[in-house]
Order: sequence, then structure tokens, then C-alpha cells
Amino acid sequence: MPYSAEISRENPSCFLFMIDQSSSMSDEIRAGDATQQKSLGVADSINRWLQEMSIKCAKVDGVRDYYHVGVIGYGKTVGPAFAGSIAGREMVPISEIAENPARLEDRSKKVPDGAGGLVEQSVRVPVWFDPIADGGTPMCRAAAEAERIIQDWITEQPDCFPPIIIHITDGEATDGEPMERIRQLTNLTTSDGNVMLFNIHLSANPEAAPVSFPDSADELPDEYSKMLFETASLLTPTMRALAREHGLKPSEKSRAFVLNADMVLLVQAIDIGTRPSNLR
Amino acid sequence: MWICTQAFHVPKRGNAEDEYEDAFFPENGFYRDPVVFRCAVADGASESAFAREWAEMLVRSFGRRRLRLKHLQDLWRRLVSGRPLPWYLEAKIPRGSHAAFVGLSIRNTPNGRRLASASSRTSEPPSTMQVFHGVAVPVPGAEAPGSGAPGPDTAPDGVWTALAIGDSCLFQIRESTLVTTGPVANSADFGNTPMLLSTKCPSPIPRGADHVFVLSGSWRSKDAFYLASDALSQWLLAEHEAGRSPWSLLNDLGTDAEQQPFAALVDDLRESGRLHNDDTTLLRIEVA
Repeated sequence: MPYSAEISRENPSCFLFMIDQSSSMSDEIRAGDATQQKSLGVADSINRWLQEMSIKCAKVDGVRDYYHVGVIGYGKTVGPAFAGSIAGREMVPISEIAENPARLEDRSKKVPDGAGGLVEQSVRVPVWFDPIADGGTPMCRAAAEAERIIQDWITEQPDCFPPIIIHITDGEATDGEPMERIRQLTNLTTSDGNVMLFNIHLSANPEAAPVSFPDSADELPDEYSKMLFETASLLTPTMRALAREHGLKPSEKSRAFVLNADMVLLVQAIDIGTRPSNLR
Repeated sequence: MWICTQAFHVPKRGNAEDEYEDAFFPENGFYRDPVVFRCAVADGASESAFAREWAEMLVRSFGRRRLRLKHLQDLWRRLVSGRPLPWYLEAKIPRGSHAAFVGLSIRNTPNGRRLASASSRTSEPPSTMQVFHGVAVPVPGAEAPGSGAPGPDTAPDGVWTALAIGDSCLFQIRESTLVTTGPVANSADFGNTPMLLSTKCPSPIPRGADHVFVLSGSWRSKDAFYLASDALSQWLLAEHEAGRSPWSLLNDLGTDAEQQPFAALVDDLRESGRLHNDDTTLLRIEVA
């Protein structure tokens, strides 16, 4: 049965984030009752995800390398996007990520005051990835880079739980027709199944209706969104169960694609795509 | 009542012995005429920090006296605080530690028969409930006539009660036949997210909570009980459901002075895909 391989230190898996860093990522996106720059929202989401994954894999003796993680950005340049001492690295074991944040930032957080109210508390959060919004949208080059990185990984780990690629974008490619390039990503396989691709489209338009994990392209507005739908993977049964936990209603034909996502849907989609279910 | 226990365990494949996060009590032993004998298995959750320590606290507390949950939670907090930790452990500790747990208490005093005779003298209906480690449970032996374990129509030699939270299981075997099992009834019912006993859960354990199971029954001389963590429990139930009897295999494991036969059995089952790669623990209790 595909997507059933154990994820262990002997047989780790990987996640690769493919992040649009084009200039349009400086536009605002809905974040609850407020708005924030898309690039900042994405950076916060990925930093929080890296923090959460480090904590999940942590044991008393250190962080266990169940996963390796890569982040590639595409905009003015295409390439690895970690900051700090792991800058330039394509795939980094989660233990090294945990031990090497670029910096710790002070943020304020509201916590219960014990008397029914909330008080602001300062917390230190690790940062590995900075927001960038500059240049065009070289999605074809980014997909080619992702294919090379994942192919190298699979050569080393041919029996691993299939790598999962989380692609976050807000616009159309400016360096050609990306469909075949992106499709190549999910043609890569391990003995446990095909590589999975999540396409997460962000919208700056507060009027644009979000579409979550559709099972058909019929209602999608244009060729671009249909391309993102067609190239996204089918959700696995475990992912469908997680989507239901988030109050969504996926079908067996639902694809790993969201359109016009706000920050809430972005975080939900990343969780559905990456929550570990069979760590050993 | 004589009790003989043997404990067998294997860490998950790829892990070192010191990364094993199940726990059991007692280590091994032979007990002659105990008033009450207690034993337990706990399975520390892989995603928790300090899970083995929590599992060990649970089984020792239950085995030595009773499950003093609040006290254990305080003890665990003291254990994990007051030492310099990296940021990811500092962030993880407030999430607590979690474990599946099954504890068995065996007596040679048939409480049920005493209650029945007492009630016949007073014409009062017998009390059928008792409080067991903070949980209201039926009194073993006080069940209606005709219910209870199959077997020869002879009086039981004693009674037992078990407390279970999560997917570590108890099996009672009589003459190579499964008499009682729980809390998980079917091999298909094992999942990755059972409710567990946590350093953060309310204390005492809430009565009537739907994830807290109490089992009880009577035993006869030469019965065997097995307490097992989830992977092995699932395999045992699957074998039973398929009409096979894995109990003689467990009985033939010998003593825990020699762990190799158990390790070989676990290896074989993992290799053939019939046993999940997880910390695997079996506690065998023979009673006479």
C-alpha cells in the first residue's frame, strides 16, 4: 500500500518548500481581521512550521532526524532560502535546523492571566527564513531546481515515505509554460509511492472566494488555476482525514490545491500536507 | 495464591535499548500468598519528551500501591524542570508526556461471593460497584448468575480488576483459550491517536470518562494473564480473529532470563509485516 512507509532515523523522509518571492508577494493578504504582506505571512508560517517540526521531533537526547527539510525561493533569484549558518544548503536534517536558527526574535503573545483575561507576554521565536518580495516569477526554473533536489534525495533514500513539496505562489510564471515541469515533480517515485505536490495559491483580493481541495477543475476561473489543480497530487486518506479535522469536506478525488487562500487557509493547507502520521 | 511473572521487551527496530519507552512492573518474580498482587504495562508516546520516565512512574506507582496521578504529575514536573534545556525541549515540556496504560490487580479473596452471602443475610441488594484507583467499577464476582468467564462449573479461586487507558491490552487465558481481553476489542480498532494517560489530564482520573476502561473477572488456578503494549496486542487479536491460537507460542517463551526467543519472535513478525515496528512489551502472569 503506498504512503505507508515508516518514517524513522534509518529511513527519513523530506519536505521541500517552493516559495514564490516575486515582487507581488509584497501585496497584502487577509490574516483574520487584519491584513499583512504575503511575503511576511508566508515567512511567519514557514518559521512556525520549522519550529513546530523541531519540537515534534525533539526527544531528551536531541532532535531526531525523521525529516530533512529544504526551502527554495524563486523571484529575483532561484535557490536555497534558509538564512543564518545553514544558508545555501538545499536539504538540511531537522536536527541541524533546530540547532541553527538564524536568530531568536522577541514577539508578543497573549496568554491567559489566570483571572479570565489575557495579558501580553514576550516570547522568543526562532527564525530561519526571511520574507523577500522582489523580481519576476521564474516558476519553471524553480520546478527544475526542485526536481533535481528531490531526485538526489530519492537516489539516497529510495524506500522513504515519498517527499512532499509545498508550493506557495501568488502569480503566473514569467519564464515560460510551467505545467510539464511541475508535472515532472510528481512523476518522481520512491518504492512507497509518488512524490506529492501541494499547490497553494495566495490572493491579495479580499473579494476572491477561496477554493479548498477541489475534486474537479470545472468551477475554476482560468487556465492558470486549472494548471495548479491538474499538477497537484490527490490527497491521501490520511490527509483527507486531517482536512476533515479542519472542518473541510474533501472527496476521494480532492487534489492538494487551494486557490485564493488567506493566511488561515495557508496554515491549514500546510498542516494537512505535513502532519506526521507514522513516525517511528 | 502463587504468582509467577516474566517480562519480555524489545525496543523498536533502529532504536537503542536506552531509547525504549515502554515500562513494566514488576521486573520479574515469584510471589507466595500475596494479599493482592499488582502489575502494569505502560507505553510512553513517541512524540512526548520524557515519555519513558512518565511510563515508569505510572507502572511503579500502580504496582506498589495505587495510581496516585496528581502526585505523579507533580513528580514528573519536578523531574523535567530546573535544568538547562535547549529551546525545543523548553517548548515541548509544557505539552506534557503521555502513555497508554494497563494495570492488573489480582486477589485470592472472592469478594463477590462474600458480598452475595452478606446480602442474603440482610436482604439488601448487593453492592455491585467499588472504587478502583479513583474509578467506579463493578465488583468482580457480583455479576448476575451465568455471566462471567467460561470454564468448568467450579468456584473461582479469586478475582481480578484491571484499569486501562489507551491501547495497551490485557488478555486472560485458560487452557489455551482466550477468556477475556480489553480494552481494545478488535485488531482493526488500533489507531495512531488513542486517548492516553497524560501529565496534564485531570486528576484524579474522571469517573465515567469514556476513554477509561475498567475490566474485571474471576480467575482459576493455572490461568495466565498477559499485558502487552499496542503492537503486540494488535497482532495477538489478529491471530485470535483468524482462528489461530498464539497463546501457546507465548507460553513457550521460557523465562525472561532468556530474552532471545521473544526478540526472535518479534523480529520474525516485523520482518513479515505482521507486527508494527514499535517498542514491544509482554508481561506474563501465571497464577495458581
